[in-house]
Amino acid sequence: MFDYSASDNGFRPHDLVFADAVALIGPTPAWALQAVAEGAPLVVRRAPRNARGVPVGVRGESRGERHGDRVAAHAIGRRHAPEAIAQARGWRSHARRRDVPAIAALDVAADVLDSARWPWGVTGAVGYELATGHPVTHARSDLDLLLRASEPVDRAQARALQTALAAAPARCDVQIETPVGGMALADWASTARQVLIKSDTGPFLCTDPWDATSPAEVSAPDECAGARG
Amino acid sequence: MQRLSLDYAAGAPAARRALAGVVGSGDLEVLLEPGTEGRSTVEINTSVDGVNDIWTAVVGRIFADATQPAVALEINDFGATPAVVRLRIAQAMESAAGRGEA
Repeated sequence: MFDYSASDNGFRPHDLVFADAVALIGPTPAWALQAVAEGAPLVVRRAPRNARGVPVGVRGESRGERHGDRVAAHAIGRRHAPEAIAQARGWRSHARRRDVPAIAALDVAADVLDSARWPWGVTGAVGYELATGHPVTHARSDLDLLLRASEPVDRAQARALQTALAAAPARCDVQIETPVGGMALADWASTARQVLIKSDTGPFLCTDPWDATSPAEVSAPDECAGARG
Repeated sequence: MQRLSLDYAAGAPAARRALAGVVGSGDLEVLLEPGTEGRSTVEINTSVDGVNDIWTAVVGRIFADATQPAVALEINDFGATPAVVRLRIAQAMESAAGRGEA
């Protein structure tokens, strides 16, 4: 049930997708309808996958404007995966890179993440801005990144990545995407025994972020969710 | 940035300090110290406006049992959902009780 490859029609959390406002299943607030009608992309979000459509979010002008919706997969046109945004290397010539440290930080982040053996991508406000040209970042934005690790990253390597990224001129917030869900690199690089996984069916604590069987077993309290250890 | 202070009746002070969570979007940092006998306090710093009622409800449910160890929590929130808040506080409480050791 946590295997994205079996459940996602190819759309994964953090993908930016484009669809007509009328394709939103709703109910959709007026500001979100207008934003999408004006060309704003939708961000695929983590939520249970079902026949009602791909779970997406709409980003408004203000920080508080975030709307969760769904859209039929067949209504989706263009898609920008986080990896494609990274491969386009758009930050090198981006007009705002002098004003936004999180954009310039991609120089350092790209060197660090290229040295890891997994595909990586740009998400969050910086990914949104690089993909759309719409200026949503600001001087104090973080750089949100994604590392798609289909097999285990050991914790020493996680610590080395975290340390190397600290040299960037903005804070780098890396999510490691495992077959089970998303986990913060900072969590995996810490000494905590349990780490928090965000899955399509909700967050849980776990000791092995690459083991898709342990979190689903509610009869195994030693492995999960606030249990003793 | 908003700041919210809550307090609850509790039992004996927790055994030790603990830390759970991380700085990062959709997550939070929970710093736990043993509280004073009979009273737990929770200080919340959040980057999200207009969510005081949700915090009060979510944290109130966690501390409803007045026999739990007394703790002083400081929470730095970066837009965590209530489910993430519950897990991270539970993780810190387990760790402070010596059951969720690093």
